[in-house]
Amino acid sequence: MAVFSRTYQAGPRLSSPAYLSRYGPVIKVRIQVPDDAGTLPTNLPDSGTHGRQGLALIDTGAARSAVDAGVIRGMGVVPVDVAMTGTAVGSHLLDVFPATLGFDELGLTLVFDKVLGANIAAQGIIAILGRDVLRRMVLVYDGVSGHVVIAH
Amino acid sequence: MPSKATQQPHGGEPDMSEEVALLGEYEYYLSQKQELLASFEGKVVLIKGKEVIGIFDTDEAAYWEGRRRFGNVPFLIHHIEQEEEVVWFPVLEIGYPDGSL
Repeated sequence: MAVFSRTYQAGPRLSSPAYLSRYGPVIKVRIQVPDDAGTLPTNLPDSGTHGRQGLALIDTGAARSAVDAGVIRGMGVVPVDVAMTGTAVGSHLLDVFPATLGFDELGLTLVFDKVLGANIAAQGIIAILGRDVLRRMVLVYDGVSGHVVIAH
Repeated sequence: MPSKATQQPHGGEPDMSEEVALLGEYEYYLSQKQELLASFEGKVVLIKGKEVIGIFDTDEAAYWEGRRRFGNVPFLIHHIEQEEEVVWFPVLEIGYPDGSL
């Protein structure tokens, strides 16, 4: 079993619990082109094995996981479906993409046939891990100490 | 605009302001949905433009047929179901301070 364990670092004016409460639990993620990309007829500018790295927010409120639409499009991946998403302020029709997400800290790579493409990069994250991923994991959220444990 | 099949649970019209590459294909799917349901409920449809390319048992089979025929371009792979899934996806206003750990 692989375990990710982190106490989120406090800034000079923010304690660890306050930091975790404000920003939520995040983990480093690498978005990659799906495995068959080597056969694509186009030149993929970012189709190397490293992909695009950034932060993924662990969001127990999201039914399904998502990647930033601009990031995945920028890697040359095209959508394969659409999905209607409901939010507190209405609903949005979003493109859906195939994608591979790598979590080096967990030693985990997840291949998605379909993952939502949402405009989330402006929030400082490039992916959201929803309950479709969390159903395979143990998540401990210790808000008192500002500590998160993920095991799979 | 989408048909009734895409009405969201909060009563208002969906926000279509974000760019959706497969909107045309999806609207075509909705226009053909009742006919598709009659014969292929539970299957997966592959649509390109305003044409049903084929019906498949799995997403993967539809994907590879789409890739074989059209290459790396958008095409719609959609499950033929009575109810369109609405994915709960809370609005984010997080703003990570530096985008890294």
